[in-house]
Amino acid sequence: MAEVLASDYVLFAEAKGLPRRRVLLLHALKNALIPAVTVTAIETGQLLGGNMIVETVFGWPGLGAPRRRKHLRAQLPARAGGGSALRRHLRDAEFRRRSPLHRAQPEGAAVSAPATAAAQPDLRPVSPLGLGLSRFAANRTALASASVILAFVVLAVAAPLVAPHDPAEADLFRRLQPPAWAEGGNWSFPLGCDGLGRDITSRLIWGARISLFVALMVIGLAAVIGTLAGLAAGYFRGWIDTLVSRLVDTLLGFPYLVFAIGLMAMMGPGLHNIVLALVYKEWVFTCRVVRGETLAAREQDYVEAARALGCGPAHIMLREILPNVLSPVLVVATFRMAYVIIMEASLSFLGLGVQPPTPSWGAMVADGRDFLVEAWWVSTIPGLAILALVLSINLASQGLRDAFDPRLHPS
Amino acid sequence: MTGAEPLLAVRGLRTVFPTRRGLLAACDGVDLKLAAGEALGVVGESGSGKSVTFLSVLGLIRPPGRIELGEILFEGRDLLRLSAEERRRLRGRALALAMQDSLSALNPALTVGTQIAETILAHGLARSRGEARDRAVDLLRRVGIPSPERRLADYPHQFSGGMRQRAMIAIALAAEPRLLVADEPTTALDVTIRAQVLDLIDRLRRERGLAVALITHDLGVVAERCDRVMVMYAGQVVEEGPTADVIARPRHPYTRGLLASLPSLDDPDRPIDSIPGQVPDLTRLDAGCRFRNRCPLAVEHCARPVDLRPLSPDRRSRCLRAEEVA
Repeated sequence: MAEVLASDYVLFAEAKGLPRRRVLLLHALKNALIPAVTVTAIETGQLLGGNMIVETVFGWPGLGAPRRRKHLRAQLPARAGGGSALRRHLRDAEFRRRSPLHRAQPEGAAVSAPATAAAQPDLRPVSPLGLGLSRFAANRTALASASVILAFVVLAVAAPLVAPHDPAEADLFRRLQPPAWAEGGNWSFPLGCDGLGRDITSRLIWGARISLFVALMVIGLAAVIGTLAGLAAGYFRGWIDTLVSRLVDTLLGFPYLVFAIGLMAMMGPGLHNIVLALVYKEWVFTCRVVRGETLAAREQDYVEAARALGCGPAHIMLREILPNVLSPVLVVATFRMAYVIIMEASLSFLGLGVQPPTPSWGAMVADGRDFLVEAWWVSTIPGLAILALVLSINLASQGLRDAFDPRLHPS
Repeated sequence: MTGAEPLLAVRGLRTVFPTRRGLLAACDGVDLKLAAGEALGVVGESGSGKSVTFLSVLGLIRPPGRIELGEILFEGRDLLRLSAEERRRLRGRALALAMQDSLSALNPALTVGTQIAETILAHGLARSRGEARDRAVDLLRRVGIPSPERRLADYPHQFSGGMRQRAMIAIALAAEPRLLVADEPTTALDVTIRAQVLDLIDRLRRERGLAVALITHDLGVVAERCDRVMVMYAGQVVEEGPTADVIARPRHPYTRGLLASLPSLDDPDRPIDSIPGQVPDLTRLDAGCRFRNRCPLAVEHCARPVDLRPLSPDRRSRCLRAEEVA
């Protein structure tokens, strides 16, 4: 919408002396609606896939639901759950011994890759960096959101230092201990404990690693693949375009979550498989946007001029067109990052993601859904963390776009 | 020049845009007068502040750009003191704009007919949509578009470049304004259509007393159609006077340079002189003459502020050595 408002025809509409309302509603909105309709059409398919989580919480006819119903009826801490919780704890302990990721964690060696990746949360493509940064800094909402993201990143990177307890250390005597401010809580476990008596604060901090690592890896890989595929499809047209576009359409036909569940079922759970399962589909969104922008860009005079100067296709795509499509890529990447965090949480919630005892926010929400009535904090606190991070990313990406899109700043 | 009370009088206009390198005064201390029925040619190279001056007059400077100083008197009222709503009612009705690039100025999602009729309706000049439509047909016919009834339902991309340009002029003229700002309205048109459009504007000047500010690169159009010409350089007016007089006897080295860089039909063998050097960075200006780095007549004194001074009752020049320019 901001781009439409900066166009000549809006200026001309104002020059005609039209009422402000008409300029906005008719001249600007009608043009801004075209991409909006496209997005709506794509998102509808996504929403159908999202139902699964809702179904899981409220009506999954599997193991969780009968047990939860019993809890609700009895309004008592489930004795029956105790045995399974103990078994889970034993299995967790076994997993902890075997998992190489977990063994390496005390020295912080195996996690250095996610840590460095997490240290670069912003994809900054445009060269007048200082200018964009100063514009970004002037936007208070974006700045506040960026600070929240940064706080999460710092927590994730410094998890071994700042987490007060071992995130996998269970103690059934602390089971469902409330947060510090509630009755029965104490400050050594500020956000309380979950169903196995594990410290939620520490799990939240370690879980931020998983969420941010998955988000950055998926978005990074998807952006590279999607941009290259989109450039090639949009620039060469012909059979390349047909191939890429049909693949994109087919992938878009699957509800995201169902698709990811299927892949996870085939590949088996685990951190790297989550990244792969999400990238398989995620690149499609970047690809669609880049293809569309490339189609428009290749008709522009500057591409014609480059061709007239004898530039090859690779040069034209990467040096002429790419800088012009980078800003939508940035926008898509940041918006999708929020979505990927939710997807990782959803997969972990469904038990297909990171395996216990490695903490993931989605798995934490899932852990708590058996105790929603008597211990709301177990699910709610990681849920709020997801909400805060996703909201911050969305707001910050909006701010990034406003600050870095050269088309919004003609002077 | 008609001796009447000016329709538009601009004094000391300074419009600035904040940029990454500091404040840029796109027009700085511009004075101009325009009487009803008069055509003023505004010439100067790209970035000299021609368009910004007149966008300021129309109140269309987009933030963060702003008018910092000056007054814009239209029929004796200072436009800068009016409310946004009052200015909006004047736009289109009293002051109209025909923009340079018709492809981007016409909304691609609305038909040409809608875009003409909405101007008529916005200013209450037709009682019904049908009446607005009839007037739109009439306007299109007058700018020389064949079978206008059919063309009303077309979208801008279905028009050729020349037709779009004419449709835009039709929109600008739709509410019978008293001042038309035409920002290079004929640059994209072929010679016959250009003559048609300019004839239409001339006729409206004579019949209705329409005042025209013709912003252009084309000195030929100015020489042919404008009573007076105003030459702008780096955000300032450098010379002003009756067109024929200015062209025959320029009194500013920049004007002379502009004229010398035109090929001549009468004397095809005359070499074309281009002006050496470049326009100074508008954010890094000193108080002195802005042309002195390119000027063949520059002397030490030119580093001091130079005012736009009257040379005769109807000529002004911003040059210390105006009398020596030959």
